[in-house]
Amino acid sequence: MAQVLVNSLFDASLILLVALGFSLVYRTARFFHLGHGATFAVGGYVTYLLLFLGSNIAFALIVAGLIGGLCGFAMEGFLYKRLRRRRSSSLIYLIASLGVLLVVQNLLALLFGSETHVLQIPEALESSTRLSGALFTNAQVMIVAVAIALVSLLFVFLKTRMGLFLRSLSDNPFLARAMGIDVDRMMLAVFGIGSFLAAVAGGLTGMETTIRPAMGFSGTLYAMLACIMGGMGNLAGTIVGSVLLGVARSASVTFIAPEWRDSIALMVVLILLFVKPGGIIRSS
Amino acid sequence: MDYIIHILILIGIYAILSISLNLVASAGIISVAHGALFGLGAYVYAVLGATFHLPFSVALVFSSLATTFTGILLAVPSLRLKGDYLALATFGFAIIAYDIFDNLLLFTKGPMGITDIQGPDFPFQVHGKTWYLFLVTAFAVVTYLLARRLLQSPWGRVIRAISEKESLVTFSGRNTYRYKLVTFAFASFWTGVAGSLYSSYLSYIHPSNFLPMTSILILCMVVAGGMGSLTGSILGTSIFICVPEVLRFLNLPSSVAGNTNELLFGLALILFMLFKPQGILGKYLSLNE
Repeated sequence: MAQVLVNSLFDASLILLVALGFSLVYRTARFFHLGHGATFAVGGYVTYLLLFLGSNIAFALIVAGLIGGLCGFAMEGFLYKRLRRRRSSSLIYLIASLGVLLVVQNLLALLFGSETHVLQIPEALESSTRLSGALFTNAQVMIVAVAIALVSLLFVFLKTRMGLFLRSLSDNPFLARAMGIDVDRMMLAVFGIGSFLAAVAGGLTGMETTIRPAMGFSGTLYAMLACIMGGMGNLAGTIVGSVLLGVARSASVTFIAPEWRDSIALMVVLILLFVKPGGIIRSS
Repeated sequence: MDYIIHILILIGIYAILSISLNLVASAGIISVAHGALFGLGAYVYAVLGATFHLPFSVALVFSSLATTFTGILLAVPSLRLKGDYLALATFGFAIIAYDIFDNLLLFTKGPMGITDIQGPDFPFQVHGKTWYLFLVTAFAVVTYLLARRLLQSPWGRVIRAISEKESLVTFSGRNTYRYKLVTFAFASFWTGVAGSLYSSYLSYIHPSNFLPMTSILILCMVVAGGMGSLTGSILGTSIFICVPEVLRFLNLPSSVAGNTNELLFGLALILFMLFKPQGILGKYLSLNE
């Protein structure tokens, strides 16, 4: 039982990092940015490469995050901005971002091969501890620590002036623009930050499990589910959703069967969607 | 020649799917569950045919009824959701369906697939698969004509109005939910037909034939061909089936080929959304606000 809780915590941390970025983008740009999974995967592969070349973990993660941020800039600058000029509907964005995910995922597969890769982690992180019947590794502790750190940073950022602009853009794009807020620059910032988080999460996930080209897809899926559960665009709700999803996943692996893990999580969310379309915590 | 017939048969089967999805999309519903319903139809037909040895027409009808029923089951809660969420819910269904195909060994024999699926008893032998081509084309034509009839009828006008401004349709006194539900049920029926044809033609099905990606593929066919344009759907289907086949001639190793295919699909989606969101032959800018 304690093991399930501990597993849920790590699971939830990973989901949370991706979900927050996703939620942030949705709040501001008002569409499901499936390309988020692309940066998640890119982050994983960059971390893999850097660790392979012998760098230390912190460096690898930071660089992965920065490269992820750059990818976010690219997606916004080259694709989404153009769609925005045309006042495209959210469905068009959705399909376009799906295209991005497919392109990036398959590029990674072509470059690195479709098989899974294991990241080389220093042995210090491999050692495990046992606490009241639950087993966890130092790596997992690090994941939680990084998650908490980044999430706190995010919330601090949202209180800054730029964060204020971001929030006002989310609330009322028209009015924000009228007040002189540079929408294009804000969008770049949003995608940059969100993608940074996703990329770091990808690196962390890679360390926890393995990396493979399709990881972007499953990574985003759970993030989306967490956001939807907590109410799209509601950041606090996203945290709650991630925790719940982490628990659901770990519980279903332990108590039911591992191969049904995805389906069960999906069914939980689907039922929730049908019953309470606004999410557990209603977003304003 | 056999090869061309094979391609045409595949185009025909997928055309049935994309025409029915186009119908649904004309009502403003973006469903990424069509591949899953297709798979359901295929599996039901396979089980009925291989295990219970039911004749072709009976199994086809049963599988189509099964997909219609499941489609309704899916649609009833999902249609209450707004556009993006609807797409996600249907996609969630597609993922769950694939997991069921893969894991429910009792019915679907999972990754081992179902073999020896019987096809219809044709009156006389003709060259190779020509009979199948005839059968599939017949069904495809029927689907096309029915869909066109539907779209051009007063019912179709309501459907298209729903996709453009649902609130106005409700305002004019119509139960939009019911219109959408019936449209979805009707489209689901045809996925069963397509699934049965697919099952009987290939005589072997496997969960990998019905990945969530398959649903996305069918959506790509509709998007590329043009929402609201049935001829466009046929065009889109042809493109998305022929291009991977053409790539086959480049003799890429199979792992690379699969990824290249998907990469091109993704690229196609991006380019279409950037430059021609209504698709090649799309008449309605129903994707734009």
